[in-house]
Amino acid sequence: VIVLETDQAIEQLDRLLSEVGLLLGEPPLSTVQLAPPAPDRTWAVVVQDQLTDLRTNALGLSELERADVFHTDPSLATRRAVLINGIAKVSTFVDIRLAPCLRELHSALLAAGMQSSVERVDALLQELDHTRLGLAPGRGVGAERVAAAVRGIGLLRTLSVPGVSQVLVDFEADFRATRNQIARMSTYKGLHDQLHHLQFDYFNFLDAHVGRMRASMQPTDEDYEFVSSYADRIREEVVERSREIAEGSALRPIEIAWIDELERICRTLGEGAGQHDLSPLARGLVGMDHLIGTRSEALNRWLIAIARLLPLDALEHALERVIELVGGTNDELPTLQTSLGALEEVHTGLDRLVDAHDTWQDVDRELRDIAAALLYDPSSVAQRWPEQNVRVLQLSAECTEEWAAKLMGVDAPRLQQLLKDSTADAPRVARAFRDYRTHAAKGFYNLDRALLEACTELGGLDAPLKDLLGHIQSTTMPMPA
Amino acid sequence: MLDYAESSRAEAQQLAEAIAELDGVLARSPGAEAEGMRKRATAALVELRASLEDLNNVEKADIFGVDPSLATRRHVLLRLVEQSKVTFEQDILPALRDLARSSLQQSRQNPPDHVDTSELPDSAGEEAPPEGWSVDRVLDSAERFIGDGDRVVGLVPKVLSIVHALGMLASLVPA
Repeated sequence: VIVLETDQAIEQLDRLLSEVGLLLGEPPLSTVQLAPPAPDRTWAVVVQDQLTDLRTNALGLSELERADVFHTDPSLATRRAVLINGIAKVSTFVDIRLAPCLRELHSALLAAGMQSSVERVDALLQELDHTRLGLAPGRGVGAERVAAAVRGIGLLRTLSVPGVSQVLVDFEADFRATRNQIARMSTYKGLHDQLHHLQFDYFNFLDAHVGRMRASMQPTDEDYEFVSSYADRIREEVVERSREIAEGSALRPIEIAWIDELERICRTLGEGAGQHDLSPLARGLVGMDHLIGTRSEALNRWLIAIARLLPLDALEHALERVIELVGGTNDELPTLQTSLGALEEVHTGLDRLVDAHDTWQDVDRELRDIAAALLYDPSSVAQRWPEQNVRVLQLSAECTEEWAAKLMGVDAPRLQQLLKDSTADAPRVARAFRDYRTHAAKGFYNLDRALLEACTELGGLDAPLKDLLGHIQSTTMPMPA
Repeated sequence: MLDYAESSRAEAQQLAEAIAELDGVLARSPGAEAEGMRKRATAALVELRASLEDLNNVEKADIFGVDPSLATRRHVLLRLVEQSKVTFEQDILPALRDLARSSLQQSRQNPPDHVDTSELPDSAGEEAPPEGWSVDRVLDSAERFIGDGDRVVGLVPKVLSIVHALGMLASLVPA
């Protein structure tokens, strides 16, 4: 049996959904109040539906592989694309809906003091981070650490120790800045998720479908109607939702201009489909592809710039000063100390993620340059790759994901061997380099996702900071004459 | 690519057989809870068998799985089979496990009178001890099966472990 990466992804998703479904169905957890995923549907039911969809699509794909081993039957191509799309939708559900739900559940369980359930959700969140994102243990921010930090920040407004109120006033501007930046990060993350949704739930499928229409002699009416209905759904589900996210967020017009652009592309696709004209469809999809690539990168860039400037050190200083004032006899001291420790770990984790992201981005740019230079200068790999390889191996060293195992165990040694071999021809080197780059790109992608997840986790700091600012305002407001 | 189709179909077939066995055990188990569980298990069995039967008919008509006119029907039936399996795995199996645990606990607290050896399940692979079955031995054996149900991998082995545990418990005659 040849196990492909797709199989591993399906197995991971299956295991995760099964465990979450069982957990959500257990009596103690079914009492925890979570915002329902849809009217009249519980999370347990939705997770079971997703698990059923995943297994049905994997099963259908497996049957199709048996019927068309060499993927040469064009009549089965659409069916294959639909099934792959079905699996991608489950994967998107896990990234965009289930992960935040688990974090919400984690906070609710912590608040309810259900420690054994908290540990199980912790384990699931870690599995999500380590298997879906390929993070080495200890990397990332960690929902449990944010929750511990939140407990201490929440305590600050309840302390009646002399001097604490003044400390809070001194740091008011930092608390406000942190809230503003977290809100901005959350908006960028929300918009980035919409582009992810657009790519994996619509664009990939639509692109393959229009590609087949162009290859066929006579596309059918149904083919065009299909494109038109997809354009409508993108407008309803991505354009409208993105507008809701951006509303009131004070983003600059340049940061959200793509939403209007996407709507124009949808109109182009709809009109092309209505006129049974393939040219606007092809043009629209090229535009959509460009938009997804450039806007995702830009949103990422802005998000990282904000993450780097997040004033977590100010929050740490505020906690340190309060701990000094509180003294050793106060019952709340252990909570405050744990909270400070957790906040420092969150800070370190975020810095590490941002640094690793910077390095990956630089490496990715170098590898892209080498790939472009390969076309006219085959020696560029031998000259420039070894230096980048050292950086890539350092970045992948602690990772246990399949891409890292292949990169370290197969791709890098093979490329090194080929570069030493004077008889190796250029196409072989180019193929080996392409495989290497594909797996390195997967590492960069996973780190990107990890940073986005970290932004969601940091969102947990917002609520206690909001309460704290409300408390500072109420205590410093001048008394009416 | 792993052959999900073959392993999943075989699992569905084995699950249907395990549920049929479970139905027989629950019919001998006392209490309203067992009766309610039997109804749920029977409903799941009917759905699973009907979908498997329909799927077999589709496959007879389209051996290579390439007929586009049957593709949607095949997909819907595959989904129904998978849905039955997921429902069993996520809803019914945890409830069965709870039922087995509570029956065991109850029998430990209020020891039954004796063991009706004619009711002991022969499919459980439990050899009769040389000194014969006693209430304590049956309870120990049931406890071991419940523990196995937590440890073993795969839906069918988990169900069978619980079926065997419930079968052992059903052979106990109350005082």
